[in-house]
Amino acid sequence: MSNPLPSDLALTVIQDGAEILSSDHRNNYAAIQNDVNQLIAALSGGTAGQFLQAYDSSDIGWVSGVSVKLWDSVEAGITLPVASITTPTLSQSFKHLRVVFQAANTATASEYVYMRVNGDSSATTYFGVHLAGLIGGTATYADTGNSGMLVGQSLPSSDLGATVQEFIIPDYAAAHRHSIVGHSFDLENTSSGAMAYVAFGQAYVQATAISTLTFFLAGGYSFAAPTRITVYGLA
Amino acid sequence: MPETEYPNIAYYEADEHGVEQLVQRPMTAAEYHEHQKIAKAEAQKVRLHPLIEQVQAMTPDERAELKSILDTEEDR
Repeated sequence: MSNPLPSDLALTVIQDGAEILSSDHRNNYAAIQNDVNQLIAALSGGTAGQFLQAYDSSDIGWVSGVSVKLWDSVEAGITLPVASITTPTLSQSFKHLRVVFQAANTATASEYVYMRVNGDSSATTYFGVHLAGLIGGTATYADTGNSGMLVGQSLPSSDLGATVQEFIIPDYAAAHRHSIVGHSFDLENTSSGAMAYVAFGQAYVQATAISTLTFFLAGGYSFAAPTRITVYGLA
Repeated sequence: MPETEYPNIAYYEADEHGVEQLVQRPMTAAEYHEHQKIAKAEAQKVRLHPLIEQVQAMTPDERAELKSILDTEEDR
């Protein structure tokens, strides 16, 4: 929620009695007006996504250079279970996006988590490869020809809680193709010790800025608690 | 007969002031069938990828044996 800054302050009418009209008070109000207008001027000029920084005890200015939480599914109030989750339109003021999420499902087994960019469900725009580290070996698999990109796993909410995954989308606001790198971990069975650590690379090959992300599960299941998706803007 | 309840979806939509607001509602029947179709196709493709890669790496003899197994399964 943004709040507009005032452009100036003009104290022209003083209405609370005769005393306020004496020259001393008029001078005081003139001084207040001057100071407030100086403060307004000092606060002006910021652009979306910037922060105020103190340069010393008396100077401030707008700067970029910090990471910002752009959106969080729990704080947004999304009620689970839900079959797909789409972010709001993401600010285009940062250099990169970082997405961190944990995922649980309404299924009885682990299910892949897919992500679409800008709602694009074309099966010819996503290309990826995954390298899984498993107990006893490794496995690789291509992720092509799907209508989204594979970005992680989810686990039954009644089982082991949730998986963890994160990925980076560099230069997401630029109108060119995008490459994404990430990794995930899930513990699927405490008895057998089945678990997987997966590193992956994905590409979205449309030459367009990324403005929304949509998450859904393979198998047609829904996300369940404690699923949480958080999107950060990196300066 | 009660109406079928489809799973919810969550997304954002601009209100009359242009401010995006969270919308959470059940899928329509059309949305649900499309979602099921796509989600199942994704799951199937990913599960088949490792198998396809293994088949591609097989020798002709191994492929012949696999074909024999599949034919036997199909006859059952």
